[in-house]
Amino acid sequence: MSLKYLIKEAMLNLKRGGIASFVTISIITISLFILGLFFILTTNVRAIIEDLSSKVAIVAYLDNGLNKEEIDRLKKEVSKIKEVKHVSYISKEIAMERFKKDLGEGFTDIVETLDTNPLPASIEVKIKGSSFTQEEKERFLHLVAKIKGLVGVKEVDYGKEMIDILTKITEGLSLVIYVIGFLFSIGAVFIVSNTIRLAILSKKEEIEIMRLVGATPGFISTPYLLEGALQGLIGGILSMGLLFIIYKLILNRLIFILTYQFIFLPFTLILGLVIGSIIVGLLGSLLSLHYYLRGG
Amino acid sequence: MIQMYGVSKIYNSEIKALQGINLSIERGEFVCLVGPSGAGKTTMLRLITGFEKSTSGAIYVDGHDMNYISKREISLLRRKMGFVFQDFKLIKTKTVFENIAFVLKVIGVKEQEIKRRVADVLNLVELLNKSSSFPHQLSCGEQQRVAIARALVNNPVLLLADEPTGNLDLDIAKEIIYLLLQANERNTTVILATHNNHLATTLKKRIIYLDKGKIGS
Repeated sequence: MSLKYLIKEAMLNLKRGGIASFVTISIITISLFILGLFFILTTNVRAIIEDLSSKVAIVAYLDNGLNKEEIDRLKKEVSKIKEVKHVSYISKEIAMERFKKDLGEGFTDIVETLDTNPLPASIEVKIKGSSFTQEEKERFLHLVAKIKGLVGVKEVDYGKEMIDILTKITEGLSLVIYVIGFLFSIGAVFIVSNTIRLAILSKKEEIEIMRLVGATPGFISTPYLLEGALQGLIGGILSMGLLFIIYKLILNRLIFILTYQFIFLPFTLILGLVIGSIIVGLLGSLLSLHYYLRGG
Repeated sequence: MIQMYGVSKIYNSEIKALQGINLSIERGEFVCLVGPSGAGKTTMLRLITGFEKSTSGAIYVDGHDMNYISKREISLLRRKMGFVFQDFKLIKTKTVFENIAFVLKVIGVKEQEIKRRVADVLNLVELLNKSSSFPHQLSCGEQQRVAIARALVNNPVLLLADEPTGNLDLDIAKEIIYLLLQANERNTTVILATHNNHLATTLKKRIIYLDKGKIGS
């Protein structure tokens, strides 16, 4: 039994299967497409949350009268913290400039009347983007406390409400994503394996004839196993292609409405879905073949 | 070739398909198995091919005890047999050539040799020109000739034919029977199961009558 024979046989079966092969592959394609669409949505929801999280900043107001060395030392110390992405120093003067800008033209004279600049100097700490699970929120609060404890820091400000909301959304969504994702995946596995199983069941007579002429179970089943795997592979690739087209034509263009650039599935997930589809195709074939070949 | 000692086959512990069968078929014999439908002809053939096991009694086919034969040995034994059925049992998705070639592929015959032998046997049944047709493109008589070609391509020691002429006109039926007789002349043991007593008697070969699962006379 040569590899060439097996592959040729599997391809020929698929080609001559006609409508049946077409229907099987279509069903696999559609179920994986729906699963993929769900993954695209969740991938993007996560990306949005991470994007929002990366905008979270901690502002540490400094004591008055720190000299340049003290400020540099403080900056260096904060930079060393693992979760910190970027640290920038905002002098009293820059703070005043920003304040004026925020007030807008026409109101700046109110500030002009002040003798001294009452605004404190500060350092702005950007943290590395991540989604805010309860665990990460605690780590964040720990970070805030750490910065607050540094010598020269008078007070610390961060978007407490924002963090609370992000955490709630992240926690809630994670649960929904896991539950629905699990159900969708199970559904896809059942549909794909059952479709392939039915395709093999329709070949009952063919298999019996093969047994009749003395073909061993291995000789009979290998082309069918390959055919199942091939159907899984084709369905997997088609569904990902279809998803990419939908992404390019629709989701990618929503940027004008949502001012958000949708991202496509990460490569590992695409690979996982296609490989999963192949394995499920194989298993579907295996189950029904086992049923037919267990007797002599 | 085939020995049966007190063979019974009971389905679902009540339907007695065969009861107390004793018989012996020698190598090179042509035997007609005659009886009305439901007499147990097909069951007997299924016991010989190992698709079913007897409920009691012993069957030996080409020296193998069919009650204690392994799956692999069954596969190997079937390669020495040829089968012809009333409904032809051709693989619909394979061409005439491929249907016959499959039998040889199973035993690992080389591609070149397969081509030669399939052509030979198609020549014998006069269907060389239909070699790339699919079964549904052929008439019933042609399909049955393909089935016979498939049964013969392996030079089987035993040829089992289950109502091979059941679906065919008289003239075409005669052609089929002629092919079976030809095979027998080349020393293949042939068992022809039929409900047609007239057909069996005109052949002037050994007849085994089966009725309600028992051997009659």
